[in-house]
Amino acid sequence: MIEEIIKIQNVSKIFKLPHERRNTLKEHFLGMLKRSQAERLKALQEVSFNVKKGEFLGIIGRNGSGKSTLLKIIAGILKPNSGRVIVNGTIAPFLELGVGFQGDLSARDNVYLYGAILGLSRSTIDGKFSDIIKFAELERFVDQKLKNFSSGMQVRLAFATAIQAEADILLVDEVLAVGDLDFRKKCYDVFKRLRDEGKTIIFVSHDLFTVNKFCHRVILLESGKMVRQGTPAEVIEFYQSHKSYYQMYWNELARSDNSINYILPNRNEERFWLEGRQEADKLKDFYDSNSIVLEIGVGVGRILKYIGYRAKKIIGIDVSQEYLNQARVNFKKDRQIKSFELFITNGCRIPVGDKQINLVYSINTFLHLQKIDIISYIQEAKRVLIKDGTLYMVMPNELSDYYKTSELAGFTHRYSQQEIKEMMMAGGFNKYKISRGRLAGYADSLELDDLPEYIIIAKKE
Amino acid sequence: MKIINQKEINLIRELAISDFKLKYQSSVLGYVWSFIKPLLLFGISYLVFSIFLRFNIEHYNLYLLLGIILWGYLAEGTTNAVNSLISKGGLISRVFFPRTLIVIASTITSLLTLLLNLIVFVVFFIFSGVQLTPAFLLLILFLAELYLIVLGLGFLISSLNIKFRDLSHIWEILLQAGFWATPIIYSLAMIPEKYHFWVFLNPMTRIIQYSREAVIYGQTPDLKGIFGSILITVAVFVVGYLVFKKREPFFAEDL
Repeated sequence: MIEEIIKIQNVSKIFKLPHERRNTLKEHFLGMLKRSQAERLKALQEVSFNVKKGEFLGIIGRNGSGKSTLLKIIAGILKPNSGRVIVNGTIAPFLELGVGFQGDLSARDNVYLYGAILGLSRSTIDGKFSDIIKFAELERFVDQKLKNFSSGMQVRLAFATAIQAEADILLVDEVLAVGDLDFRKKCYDVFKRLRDEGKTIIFVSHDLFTVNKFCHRVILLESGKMVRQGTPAEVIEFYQSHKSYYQMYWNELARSDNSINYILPNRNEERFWLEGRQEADKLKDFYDSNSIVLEIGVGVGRILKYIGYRAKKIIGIDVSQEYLNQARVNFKKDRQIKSFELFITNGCRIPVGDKQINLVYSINTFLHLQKIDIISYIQEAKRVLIKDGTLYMVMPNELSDYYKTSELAGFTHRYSQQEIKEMMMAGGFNKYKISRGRLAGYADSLELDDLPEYIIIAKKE
Repeated sequence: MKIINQKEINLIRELAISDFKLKYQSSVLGYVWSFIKPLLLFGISYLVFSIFLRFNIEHYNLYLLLGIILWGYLAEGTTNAVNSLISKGGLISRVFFPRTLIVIASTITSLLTLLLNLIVFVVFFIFSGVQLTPAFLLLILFLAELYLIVLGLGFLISSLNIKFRDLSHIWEILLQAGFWATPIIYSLAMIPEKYHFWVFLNPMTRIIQYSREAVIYGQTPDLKGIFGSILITVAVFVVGYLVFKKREPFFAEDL
């Protein structure tokens, strides 16, 4: 079976992003007077590839690399500016959350509507309805309005319906990330079954573990270009190790070095260091005076400094030379610190050579990073830890003031408890504790209990 | 244009059912409202124009009711259509299916209102004692024309409304203006002869006028007039459909 079911030939897509969106006539008339300031975003550039019948194709890449746009073009939802897409089969698209369900209708009504869109007749759905609801585990909620459902429930319902469609091609876009582990396991069973039945699946995901497990072939997109295609192992390895495309991202982060004043507005010097000590105190159970401790995202070193009083050696890494210089100054004038090393890092690597580390910790560092980078760091932490060593992370959630101030700087991602679990698993830690709590407060926040953050503690087995 | 297939008919039905449920689920009298509205308008207009102002039009009650019912379908059908694409934005940006089906479905729910109102008209007709002539069969043609006009306008305004969101408000005003610019409450004879050319360019004038002549007065409208009305209807439909097709590839982006 080497029949080509999808052919993508030199597909390009450009989005015009007006600085102000014009939606009313007045805006259009006023807009004619001034020059349109539309920015042109090249979402896809000259992408070409074929998909064979029965193939399970993965598409990976950073956020904004064009993955979803590509799926929408294959599905016929968006029209490419140039190039051709030839599809020789029927498509069941499964894009984004909830597939466009109507929130004011019941689960039952939505299944019939979505089923009809997928080309199923009423009697066909009648026959499959109880299977759908059972698979989605929504027996008790059949006649509830969909707007009262959690996002996980909506995705379960959508997925359960979509797999009933007798389409040749299934497009799946990142949607399973919101399902719980049990449901995802069921989905993977379905993937396996569909793959064995010879269905063609195009799967977009950040979950490299799953991509590696299921896909026959993987395509890597970067800034709208296809930079790599091949076996999952090959492409994923390339994606994780290839640094050039991280460069822009890291540069951007480093440029915001001066944001220390921004992130910690009106900080009170004395209090700033006091809080660092409080945070260091909370970590003291995880190391002793013979330990080597590593901090990811050392900043100016306010926590590491106090850990340095008790540990044998402290190591800090950061993407910002400016921070590291400040930290060096702070450490050098402090006689109580026995030994320290500071490294600049570029890409998600921990450049400590063969040193074995007792405690790796990072506090509110990863809110700047995307999942794939956090997973890399978790894997790296596992690599450098000694047996029984501890990984300690604090992930800010959207309620924390740290998150909110950092959001102002414009590069923040929010992660749910579920996503943290996935990242830990993908990073190779099967056992870990996750709790909601808080270290010392930042800046001017006094009501600490109101601002929970996720604290993750994992031991290397 | 390929002929509609069974799957598309299923989808139109499901879309129409969901439109219907969404529209009426949170009101007590529900569907009864859209059925009562034209009758209330009829009652008030009849009181004002027949009893207070004493219009001298033969069988004025039937004359008025038929006009209001036919116009009512235009108003309700196009009002449903104008926001139909926007309200289904979630579907449009996630699933591909012929977008024309959304607009077709939106015009179908109001067909039910039209049907119920026509039954009321039949009751009035029976009690009025007016004689029915074979000419009334022409009503089927006029209803078909009316549907094509509503669908054509629906295609036009729903696709333009995605980019120019003001359109739904402008359309409301145009419908108001149209109601008074069309001989619904008054008769053609009340309009000075020199304006007749313009009034007859309005396809609703012809549809409503000819329907009355065929059903209430038992006359066959002149063939030239019928031909003209078909021509205008087809023109409205084709223009609406072409504009829709031209904009269709960009719906998902513009929403």
